[in-house]
Amino acid sequence: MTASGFAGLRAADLALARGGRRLFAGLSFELGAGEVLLLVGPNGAGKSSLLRALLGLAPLAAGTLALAGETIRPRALCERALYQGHAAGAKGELTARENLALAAALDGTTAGDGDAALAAALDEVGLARQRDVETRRLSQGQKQRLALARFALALRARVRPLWLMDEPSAALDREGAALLQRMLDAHAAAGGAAIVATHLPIAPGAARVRELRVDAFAPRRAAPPAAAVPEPAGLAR
Amino acid sequence: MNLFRYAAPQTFYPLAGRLQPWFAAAAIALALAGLWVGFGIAPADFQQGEVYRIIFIHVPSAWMAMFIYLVMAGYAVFTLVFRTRLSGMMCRALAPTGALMAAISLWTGAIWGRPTWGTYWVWDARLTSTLILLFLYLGYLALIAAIEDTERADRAGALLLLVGVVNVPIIYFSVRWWNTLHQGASVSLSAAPRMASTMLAGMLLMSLAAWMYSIAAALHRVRSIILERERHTRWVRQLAG
Amino acid sequence: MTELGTFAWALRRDLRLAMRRRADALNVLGFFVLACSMFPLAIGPQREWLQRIGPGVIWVAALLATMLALPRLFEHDHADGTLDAMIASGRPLSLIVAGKLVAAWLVTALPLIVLTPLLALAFAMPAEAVPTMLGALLLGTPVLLGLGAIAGALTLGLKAGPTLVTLLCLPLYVPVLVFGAGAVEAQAAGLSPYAHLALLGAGMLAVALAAPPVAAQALRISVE
Repeated sequence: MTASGFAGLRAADLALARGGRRLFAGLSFELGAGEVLLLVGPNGAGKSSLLRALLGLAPLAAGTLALAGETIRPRALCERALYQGHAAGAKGELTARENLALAAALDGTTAGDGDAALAAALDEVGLARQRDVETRRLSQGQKQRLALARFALALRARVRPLWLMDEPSAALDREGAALLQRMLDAHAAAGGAAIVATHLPIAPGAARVRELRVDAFAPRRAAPPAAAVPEPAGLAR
Repeated sequence: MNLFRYAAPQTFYPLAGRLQPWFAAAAIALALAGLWVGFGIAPADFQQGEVYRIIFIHVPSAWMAMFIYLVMAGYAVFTLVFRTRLSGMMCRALAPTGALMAAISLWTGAIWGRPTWGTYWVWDARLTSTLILLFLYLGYLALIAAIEDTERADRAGALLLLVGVVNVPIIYFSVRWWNTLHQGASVSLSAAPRMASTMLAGMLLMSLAAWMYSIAAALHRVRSIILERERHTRWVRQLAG
Repeated sequence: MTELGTFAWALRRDLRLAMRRRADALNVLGFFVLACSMFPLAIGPQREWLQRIGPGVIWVAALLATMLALPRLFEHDHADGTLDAMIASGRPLSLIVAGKLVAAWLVTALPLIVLTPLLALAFAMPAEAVPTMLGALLLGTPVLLGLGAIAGALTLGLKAGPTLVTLLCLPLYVPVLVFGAGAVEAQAAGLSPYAHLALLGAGMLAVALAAPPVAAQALRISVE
C-alpha cells in the first residue's frame, strides 16, 4: 500500500458496549479510496465511539477489521490514520504555529521544509494572522480551523490516507464549512478516504459520499410492559 | 469436562451457589477444631503465658491477607491479558475479605502487644508490612469504587494489583531492613515462641479455616456481583422472575 | 520519527509547556521548603533533635512535593484532547511517557535537589552527609515519579484523582523512603551508605525500564 493511496478498509460485525449498554452490534461497512463515509445518527448512537474503536481507543466487543484484505488489529490502523476528536487537540498555552509544529512532528507530516509548510497550512485554513496567538485566545471556530491545518499538512505530505473526523464542522462558519468540503474533495481526489461523524451534510464533489446510520445497528429494545401509562388525549396523533 | 465453560458468569453462578455451603461448613469445622487445639490443648507458653494464644488468630489472618493478595494478582493477569469478566469479578469479591484479614491481623497484634510489651502498637517488621498491605487493599478498593465504567475499573484495578504484587516483596524486604537497623525497641511480635507440635497443628487448622472462610465469602460475594453486572441479560431476568 | 525522536519530541514539548506555566514548578518548590520549615517550628530548634530528624523530614517533604506534580503529568493532556492525539498517532506510547517523565523530573525534582544543601544547613546536617543526601535523592526521585506516573495514569479524569493518587502511591514509596533516609542515617552511624544507594540505583533502573510501558498501558486502560 503506497503512502499516498488508501487500499481499502472493511469492517465486519463490529459490536461495542459503553457503560454496560450495547451501543451497536453487527455493524459492517466497506471503504475504498476516494470515498467519504458519513456517520449519522442521534446523540449517543455511538458515532464517536465507533471512530475511537477503529483506532483502539475504545474496546470492540466483537468484529473484525481488514485493511487491503488483511485482518488487522485496530491499533495497526493508527499509523495510517489521522484522528480528530471532540476536543481541540491543542495546548492552550502554545501559539497556533507551535501547536501545529508539534502535531506535524507527531504525525510525520513535515519533512525538512518545516516553517514554510506550516505557514502555508495556516494560510490555507485562514489563520494567517493568528500564527503567533496563544491557542487559548482563539475562538472555537478558529481552533477548529487549526485542527484542519493538521489535515492539510497530511494531504500535502501524502501520509496518513485515512481521515477520521468527529464533528469537524461543529463550530465552523460558512467559509469554514466550504473549506472542509474543499479539503475532503482534494483528499478523495488524491486517493485518500475519510470517515466523518457529522450533523451537517457534506455534498458529493470529487468524493463519493455514502451514509452509515449508526443507530440502525442498535440492539432492539425489549417490548414495553403492557400496563403502559395512558396517553393524554391531547397527544393523540 | 470442559472447565472453561465455568469462566462464563452464567455457568459459574449456580456452581458457586452449590459449592459455597460446603466451604462454609468446612470453615466452621476447621475453626472449631483449631480453636479447640489452640485454646484448649496446646500448652501455655513458657515466657508469655496464656496471652500468646492470640497467635492462633494473628498469624493465620496475616498469612491469609498475603495469600488472598496473590490470588487476586493471579486473577488480575486474566483480566488484563484475556479480558475475562469473571476474573475481574473474583478480584472484587476477594478484596474485602483480604482487607478484613489484614485488619484482623493488625487488631490481634495490638491485643497481643498490650499485655506482653505494654503498648498497643510496635513498629515491628510483620505488623508494619501488614499495615502497608492493608493500605494496598484500601487503595484497590478505593480505585475500583471511584471508576464508574466497570470494565475500566476492573482493568485499572488489575494493573494496580500487578504493580502492587511486584512491590510487596520489595516493601517487605525494606521494612525488615529498616526494622533491624532501628533495633531500639527490640520488641518483635515475629519472635514467636518456640513451637510445640500442638501449637503448629493449631496454627495449621486455623489457617485452613481462614482459607475455607475466604473461599466461602468470595463465592457468596461473587454471586451478588454477577447478578448486578449481568442484570441486563435474559438469564438474570428469568431468575428474578 | 525514530524512537529517539519520539522521546525527544515528548521531552521538548513538556519542557516548553513547563516554561509557559512556571507557577506550577514554583509551587512545588515552595511546598518543599515550607514543609521542611514546619518541623523545626513544631519541634523546637535544639540542634540534636534537628540533626536526628533532618534526613527523614527532607525525604518526606521531597516525596510529598513530588506527588504534587503528578496530576499535571497527564490530566491537562487528557482534558484538551492531546492525549488522544498522542495515542492515536501510532507512535510508541511508552517513549512519549518516558519523555514526559524525564521532563517532569527536570522541572520538579532537580530544583528540589538543588535546594537541598540549603535545607541541610537548616537541619544542621554535617557536611559529609550532604553528598549522600543528594545522591539518594538523585536516585530516588525518579522512582517516585515513575511509580507516581502509573498511579496518575490509572486515576485519569477521576474527580477523586489527586487524593486517590496519594493513597495509591504512599505504600509503594515506602522502600524508597527507607533506603533513601536510611543511607544518610547509616553514614551518620559510621556505616557505609553504599548498600542503600546501590539498592536505590537498582530501583531507579528497574523503574526507568518498567514504568513507561506500565504507565502507557494504564493510560490506554483509562482512555478507553
